[in-house]
Amino acid sequence: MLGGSRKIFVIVGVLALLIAVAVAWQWPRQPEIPSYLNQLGGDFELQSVNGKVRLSDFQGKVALVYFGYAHCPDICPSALTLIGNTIRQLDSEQQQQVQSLFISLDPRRDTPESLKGYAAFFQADMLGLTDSPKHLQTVADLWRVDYHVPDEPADSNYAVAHSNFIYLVNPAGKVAALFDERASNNDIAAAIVQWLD
Amino acid sequence: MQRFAHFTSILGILIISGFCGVSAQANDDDLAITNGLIRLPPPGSQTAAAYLDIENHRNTDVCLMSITTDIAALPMIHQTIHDNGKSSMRETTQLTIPAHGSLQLQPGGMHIMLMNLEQPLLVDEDIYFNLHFSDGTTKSTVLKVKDMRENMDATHSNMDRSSHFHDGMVHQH
Repeated sequence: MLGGSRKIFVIVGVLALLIAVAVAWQWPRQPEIPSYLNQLGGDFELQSVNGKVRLSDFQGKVALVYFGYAHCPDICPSALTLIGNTIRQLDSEQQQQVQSLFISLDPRRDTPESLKGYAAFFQADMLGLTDSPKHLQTVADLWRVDYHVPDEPADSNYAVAHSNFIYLVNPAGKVAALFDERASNNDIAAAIVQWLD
Repeated sequence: MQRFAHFTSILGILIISGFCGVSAQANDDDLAITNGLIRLPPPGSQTAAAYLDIENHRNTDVCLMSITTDIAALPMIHQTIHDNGKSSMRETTQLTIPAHGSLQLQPGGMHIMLMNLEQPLLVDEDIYFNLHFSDGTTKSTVLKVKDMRENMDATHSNMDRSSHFHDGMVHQH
């Protein structure tokens, strides 16, 4: 048989537990990340015109990452235009919480200098990044980017075949979603907003 | 033997003309070019893509053989291929436009690749193209340079920390 004060403790304790469960149930949950995305992504360090840039520099923000090359006439401009259009349809506070990154797999023709203007055309804050072929291969492997740069001279107008995905990275630095050529700006904007405060 | 060779070469010509119409058509309106534009590339870019649709109102197939323009020496038609997440381009020649059918060259699919641009492209600029078909017809068309970015007035740069009041208008280009 419980004493009077102990009874009160138990009642208060049970009530507190019930309240905590009720609050947790209502608390907005973070979106789930599909398990197949756990195997790709990770921090990287690449060159921009203003120096080294790490993905982890943008922790706390949503990052949109795209791998391509600047001499691409159709696919890359389409994807980068989609990224820019998506970010611009967010309100100004939301835009401040998103960072777009364009990584060129073609350093023979694309330099950090040339990528600055190229990226900024699609979205004002988009960073254009590249690095040595060897380092790019390391990053591409981590991000499961499948690509091939032909061994041809820079002035030969070669094409670079590459995976065509827009990676959405959440504020914790994890790849949380992938979008392909069928995605719309509404799809991506909706996914971004889920991760913002 | 000679008669046989003659026969097979005539047969060969007939077969080819079945895929790409070779007989000249009198009516100039039977091939229509619509939905054409050139995607405005980033400043300094030497590569751009042009898109258009071709409608064939004829009773016979016809092939698009080549395209010429002053702004690029060798426009090529490319097919974008999406294969298990990996995208690449493949040059395509002799594109068939079926009788009473159409051919679409649009983003993500086929496009006209313009390389080594002879001049920078300006928004709303009119660029002339000649499309050369298998029957000897040449159709001229004008494609406008279009900025395919949207909501450019809604740009809020992370660099721009001052409280900028934008008029709230969204301008569609």
